[in-house]
Amino acid sequence: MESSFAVDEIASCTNSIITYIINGISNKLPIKERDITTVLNVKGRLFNMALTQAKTALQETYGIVMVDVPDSKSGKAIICYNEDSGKSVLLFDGEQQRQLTLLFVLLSYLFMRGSDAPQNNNTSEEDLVNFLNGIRIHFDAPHEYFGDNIKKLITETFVKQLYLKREKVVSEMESEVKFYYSWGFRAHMEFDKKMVLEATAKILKKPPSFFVAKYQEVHQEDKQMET
Amino acid sequence: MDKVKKQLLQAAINHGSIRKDVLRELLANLCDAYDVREPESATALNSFIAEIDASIRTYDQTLQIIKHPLNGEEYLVFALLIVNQACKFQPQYTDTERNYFYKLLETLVSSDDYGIEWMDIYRVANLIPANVQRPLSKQRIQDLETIWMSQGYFLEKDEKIYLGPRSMLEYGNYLKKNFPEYIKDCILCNKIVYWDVKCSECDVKLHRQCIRKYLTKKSTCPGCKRTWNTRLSLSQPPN
Repeated sequence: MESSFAVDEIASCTNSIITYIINGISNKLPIKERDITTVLNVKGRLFNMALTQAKTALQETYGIVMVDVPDSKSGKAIICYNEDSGKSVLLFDGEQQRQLTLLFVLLSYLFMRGSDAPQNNNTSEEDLVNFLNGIRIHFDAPHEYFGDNIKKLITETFVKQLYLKREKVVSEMESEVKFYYSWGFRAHMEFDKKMVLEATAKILKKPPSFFVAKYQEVHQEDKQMET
Repeated sequence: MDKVKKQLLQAAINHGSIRKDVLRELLANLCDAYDVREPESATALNSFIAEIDASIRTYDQTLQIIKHPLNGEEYLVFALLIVNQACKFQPQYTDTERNYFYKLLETLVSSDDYGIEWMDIYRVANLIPANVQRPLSKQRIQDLETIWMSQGYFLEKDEKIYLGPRSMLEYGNYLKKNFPEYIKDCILCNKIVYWDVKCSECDVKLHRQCIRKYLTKKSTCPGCKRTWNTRLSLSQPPN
């Protein structure tokens, strides 16, 4: 295969992409390809070759997986995440630990209700607020563990990070605006549903098989692979 | 073992700088999770880190254990080695905030012991040229300090702020190049010396270990050749 670029040109571009991604990785926001090409001042075939190399390097050396975000409206975007979910709580600083805990509570609630995908049973913001109130986490009040900005964290931050999907539905009959929540693309990539079920079952002090529908759902893939 | 390396690397990138005791605990957790034997001796740990370091050098990055001369503590530090264009992209910081960081470095380097009083962080913020972007609020300045300290760029000791282990590694050459009158190499080993020991006669700065080794063979200052009579013990205040 003929390459019209020098090897070190590609290598230099690859290094820049890797640096760019590593700098932006902690805020977990999707990275637009357009932004990378603008800052690095490269595009086209050179960029694509370097991006592919960067993707491989990130996975092999750092254990960071890079995937395209499906249906992104403003041009191609990527997200990056750890290939192996939290093997030690010390991987994260205090703030991140707190956010992850809250996130887990939300995602497991949505999952048990069947709202991991929007077309399934939907969960409104009202349902969510009521659930959280029940465990003494309030949208509008500071929480001693989870911090001061719970509403912003849930309605903005987690949504921008693609952990949660927050859809606006204008109901004609009730002429009001309601928001519905489901798992975001990043949640699907990072969280293993079997693990979510097991953890939730443990908290509720029941065996996972107690939740028949959910149990079958997470083990359905195993059955499919067996046949 | 590879998996442990990758997770440790991600942790180092995330934290910026990890104190040795935390590093030990993290490594124990990871080795336990992946069911591999932990590199326990100091030599085993050092070569483990060196292996990871070797694998990221091609990407202009480094992972090293640095001992900070001011508090004697060891830190695992992740640093970028060259400033390429991608470094200008740091989405969590505005241009003003980046300028503030460089101004802090500059102020620290030109201070007597590379340290400033905690309260000075606000004075330094006023030194950055005013531009169209919003000036930094007091709260934001405090938040930035906290972030940069936990990342290892700055170190707090006795109510003052000093250059941290990550700045020493990542900005060492930048500081040497831009502030040659303040940051010099130790003349015995040719690596940058920040604190450590200064000859009382000629003001030349040397690493404590370097001069200690030198003095086993000679009794003069390697810089001015006069008799060395400066105390080497750690109880001497950093100068």
